Amino acid sequence: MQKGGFNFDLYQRNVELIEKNNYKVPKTTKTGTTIVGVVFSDGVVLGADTRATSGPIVADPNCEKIHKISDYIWCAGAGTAADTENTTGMISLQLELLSLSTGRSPRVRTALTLLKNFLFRYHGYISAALVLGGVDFTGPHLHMIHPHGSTSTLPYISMGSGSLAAMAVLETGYNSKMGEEDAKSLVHQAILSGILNDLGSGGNVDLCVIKHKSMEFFRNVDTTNSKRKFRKKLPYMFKSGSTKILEKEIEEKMRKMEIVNEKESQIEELEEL
Amino acid sequence: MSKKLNFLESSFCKVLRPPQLNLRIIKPSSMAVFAFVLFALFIVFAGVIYDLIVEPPSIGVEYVSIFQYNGSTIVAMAGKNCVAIAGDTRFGVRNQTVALDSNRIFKINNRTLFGMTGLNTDILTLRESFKFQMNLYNLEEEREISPKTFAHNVAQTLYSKRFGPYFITPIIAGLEGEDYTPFLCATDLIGAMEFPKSFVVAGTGEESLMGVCETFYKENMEPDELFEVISQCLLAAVDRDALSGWGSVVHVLTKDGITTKRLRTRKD
Repeated sequence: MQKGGFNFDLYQRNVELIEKNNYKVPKTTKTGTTIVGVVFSDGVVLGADTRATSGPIVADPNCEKIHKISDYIWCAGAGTAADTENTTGMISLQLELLSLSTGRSPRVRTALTLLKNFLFRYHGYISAALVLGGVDFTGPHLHMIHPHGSTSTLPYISMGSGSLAAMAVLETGYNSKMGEEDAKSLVHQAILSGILNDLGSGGNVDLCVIKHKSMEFFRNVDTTNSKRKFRKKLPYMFKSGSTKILEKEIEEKMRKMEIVNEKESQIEELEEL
Repeated sequence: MSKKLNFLESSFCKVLRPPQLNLRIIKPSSMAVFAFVLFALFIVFAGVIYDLIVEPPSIGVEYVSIFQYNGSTIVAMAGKNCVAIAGDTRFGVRNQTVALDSNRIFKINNRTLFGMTGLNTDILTLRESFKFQMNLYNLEEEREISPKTFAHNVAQTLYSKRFGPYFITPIIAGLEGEDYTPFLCATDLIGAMEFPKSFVVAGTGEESLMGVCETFYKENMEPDELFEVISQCLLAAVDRDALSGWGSVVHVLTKDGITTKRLRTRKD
């Protein structure tokens, strides 16, 4: 069947179809995003918004952008949604196998090296910008990874289209002696700033607090953006029978297709896979 | 004659005075005239050749998405222990309609329905590919695949072609688990999944569909009402999309089975 890895079989056909006929390249789901990470005295707080866009349309108003690499190592991703999901999934697999074979709990630095080597091999074509944070036996760590494979280690990081808005809040509010509550509220404010000021970010706020041997995931902490204030009170009602039907066929679950009346067999059968 | 001229002179020339232009009469050489005419001719011909080669005139639309080559629309909605998936049945090549009965929604098993929009050749290829994979799964696992597993399978198949993708947008609708909870999943062309609780839309009419579904959708609809709502949403959206229409089919999946209904749409 299929081997692992990327399959380039259709590449030539797509070049002919798109470039020679002047079609536009189709748009993939991107996470415009604001993602933020902050180190505090005991651990790391990661935050993200929840909007996934496809061009100017919101494809998913409530997606999850904080992915699990290992129990106490989590990663928030910006860029092409399929790339961030599959990259973090692949590295999470490799890290699990590595920790099982070495018999040690995984380090954040290992995940960092695996991610940057993987992304560098594809020279930026895998568009995944990541904020990797976690606590291992050496302490709390926070790293940023760019799509081309460069990394930085910093006490506070923001990435994505809303990174400028979030960084403004972080620069104002960060101090190196913060406690957990201060860090959580700072990350919350930074993501909110991205949601309000950046068009590519929106939805709710997700938070992830990682400390030594403990992890708490707060999904949809702030949902003030999700309530539709001006929804019509009485919903639209369609009476039964308001849609005109040309043909009708009922396929009941346990019966085989042969046991069918002669009248019903004239109707086209549902194409079965 | 002189009297007339005198009259003209006195009446007009007093008001209107011609300007004082000190013009020299230019007498160019024949070589200069030849060079000027040659240059003008060169400009004209070069322009014509540029128009023909660099920006040639063409019939039809350029710079549109490859997804608009065939054109199709699919919507799926969740109700109370039931899901419905509906799509149009037009098969066209750019602006020409070729067939009215092309089916893009397929049954995987009694719990899962799978629809695709986009380039028709990729839809047919992937239908065969998934049929093959599901047959193998049934033989190896001796059970039917759950909709969630199938959705992940679709996403993995699409992502393996990340740098040369299939041009489709799949939708998976099914009933998950013992208590038949509705399951909806849509992915983009490279397999980024989303799992909404209410409805998913795909195809050339997706933008109209989003608007109309947001308006008409209610939570916990019974199968009859779900059928009405999804049909009205699809009919409204394909009416506003030139590339979809010409017949539609709606499948409602409950724990008792699948009800398939065909609707009358506008034939334009």
